[in-house]
Amino acid sequence: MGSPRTILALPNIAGFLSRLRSSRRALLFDAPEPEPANQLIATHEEQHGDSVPGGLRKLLLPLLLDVAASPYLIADSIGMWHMGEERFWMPRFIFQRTQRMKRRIKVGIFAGIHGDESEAVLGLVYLVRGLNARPEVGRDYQLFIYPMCNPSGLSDGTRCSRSGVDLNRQFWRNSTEPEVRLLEAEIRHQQFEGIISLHTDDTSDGVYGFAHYGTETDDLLHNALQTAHHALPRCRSILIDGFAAENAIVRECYAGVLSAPPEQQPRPWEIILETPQRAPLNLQRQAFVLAVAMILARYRTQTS
Amino acid sequence: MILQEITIVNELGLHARPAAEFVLAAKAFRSQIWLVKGAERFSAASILDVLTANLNCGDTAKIEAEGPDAEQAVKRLVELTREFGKKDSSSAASARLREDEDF
Repeated sequence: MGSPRTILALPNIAGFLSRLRSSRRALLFDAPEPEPANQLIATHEEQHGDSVPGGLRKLLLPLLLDVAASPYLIADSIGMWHMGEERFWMPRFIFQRTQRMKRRIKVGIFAGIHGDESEAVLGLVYLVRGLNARPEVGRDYQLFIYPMCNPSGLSDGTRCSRSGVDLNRQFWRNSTEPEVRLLEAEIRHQQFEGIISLHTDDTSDGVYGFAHYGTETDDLLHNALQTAHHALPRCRSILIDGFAAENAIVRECYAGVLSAPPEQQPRPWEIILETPQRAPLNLQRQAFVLAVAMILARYRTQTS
Repeated sequence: MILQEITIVNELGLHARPAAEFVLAAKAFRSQIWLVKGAERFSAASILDVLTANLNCGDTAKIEAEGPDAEQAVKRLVELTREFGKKDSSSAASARLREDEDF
């Protein structure tokens, strides 16, 4: 008897990977692109055939193997669930530069809650590799990274999960969606000091973001957008998603988006970063990484 | 078919590093090997499957093997999961030696 098919794939990932390889190196990180060929993959193919989609092998397995050899990162899962006969799981990467006992800033970084925004997923995958190559970027932090928050949507290339639900309108509303329940439990348990969500927008002409809770969050996002400008310009619209925007910063948001639990006090800072989906992939990836690295550096300074 | 229960003893659970070791050990055998957690079966030869099993510290699962070297396979993998706990301690010790590297 075989195990059910475990899915965590990205659509057309081979094309993305090809563009990643041919793109110039990122401005911040100089992490090498790993080769997918390795013993574990070959073994799996030999013994079990092509039960795991090729896109997954090419994206996730090399990353997991890099992380398995890293002194700074661990990778695991926050849970699994079934949809029909298929089995899905949600990977988590935890970064901590040293094991020294000291206070660390806990930040959660999320991507892929909309399954048709694989650019954000790849941005976060690249961030994980970058942290492994340049761990000093994450100094003083314990980073919890969730690059694929909607695996069935990623597999299908759809905004919603396979159950037809926009997961990013479901948080803290007694949702029964398994992805939301897992993420809510995780976010409630971790009590993050800051939350960053990565998205892409197919109507935007530049990078923008949503900032919640406190003037310090405005400052973080402002600096993040300024740094991301090295890769992509800021969005110039004064109205974004129906909300008033000032210098590409929006201070309102839809209800039910991924956020800290309502009871958490003090409220963490929350930033949603959006890149223009029509921009070249390598530039979106650079914008994400630059912006996140700036947020980390700036907040470290704010709290020191 | 050989079947034996294991308990995960390392503090961080069966994350990618021990999972990779587990998979490499499993592939050294010719038998088909599975991790069984509740009603779920996961291939011991796939790091994706092993991570999907989401085995945390204190969790129990069964190692199931079928094939010419099933007994040796189960014995080795049971030993390995016990060793993971010791390796965690060893890693913590080496990490303490690197404390001064923090900057």
